[in-house]
Amino acid sequence: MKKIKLISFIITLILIALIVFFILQNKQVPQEKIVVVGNTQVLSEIDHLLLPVGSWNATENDFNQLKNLTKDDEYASEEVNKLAILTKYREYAHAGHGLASLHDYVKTGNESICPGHALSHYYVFMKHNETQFAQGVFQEAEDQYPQWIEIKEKQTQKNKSQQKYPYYKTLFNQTITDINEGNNNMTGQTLSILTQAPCAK
Amino acid sequence: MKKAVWSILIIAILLIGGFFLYKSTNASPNSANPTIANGHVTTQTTNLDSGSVTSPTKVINLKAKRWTFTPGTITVKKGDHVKIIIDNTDTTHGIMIPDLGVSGIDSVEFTADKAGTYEFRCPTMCGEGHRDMKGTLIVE
Repeated sequence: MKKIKLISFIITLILIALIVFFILQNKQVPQEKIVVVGNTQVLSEIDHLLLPVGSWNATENDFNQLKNLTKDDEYASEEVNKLAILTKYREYAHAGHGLASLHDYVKTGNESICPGHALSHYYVFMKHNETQFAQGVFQEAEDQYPQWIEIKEKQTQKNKSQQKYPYYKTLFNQTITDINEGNNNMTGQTLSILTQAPCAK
Repeated sequence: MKKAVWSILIIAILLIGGFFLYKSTNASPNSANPTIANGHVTTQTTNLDSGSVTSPTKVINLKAKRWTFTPGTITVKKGDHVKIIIDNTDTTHGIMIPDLGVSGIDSVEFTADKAGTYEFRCPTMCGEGHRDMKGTLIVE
């Protein structure tokens, strides 16, 4: 009788152990999130992409690895999605600048303040009927504009060489007003000026 | 009978122990993906293709400022392992040498295995003079 009790106790124990074993084995180990800021692998992938983008032969798929590496960072992943779309439409100059901004973000954790570029991207996205992206970058431009002014004002007071600042300030203001009024007409020349407008650091 | 009981007990313990051992050895390497590195400028030695020759890295400091590179011409010897460190002084520039298949913002590293003259340029839209921001690499 004692033996039977002992055997059933041990069998129960083994069954419990086996159940625990299989539960633990099948339990999904949650993947660690990839930290983007300061990540040398992301920086290296950006460096690698500069060549096909700068040589104007990159494709949207070239961004898959970068998309995967940045998926856990909301800002970076949105930026990469935009870059992939810009590349899809062969807007390489815009994608190249975006890669540089993303590089800065990964290195420092600071988001770029480039209302000129954001506004130029608005027109590019509108040209390709990517209205959702267009609205997103326009919102970015509106948000960044006061920050850009603040930084540029300070730099102008410190260093009188910021001669073009008033010109860009007026241009950004006029462009934002035009878009808000539903006027999406833009000359190629002005678009080029917006693309080349300085960011604020 | 007792022997069988003990055997079953030992097998169960080994199974559980093995499981935890398996878990602990597999956890560390893959999760160490995110790495934070600040400056990564170092003097290096690099093994060339033969595996037996070690060549020191030739480090070149290149200043990138709207819209010029200083020096505008870089000369290296064929076979040199070259590292170009870019000092982006005003905005984010970088360098790309399409014929050698290299590009980077802070630095690029490559082995100059083909003699010739190569153009390098800024890969990022850095402003109105971007298109003219070029330099020359001579591999002697």
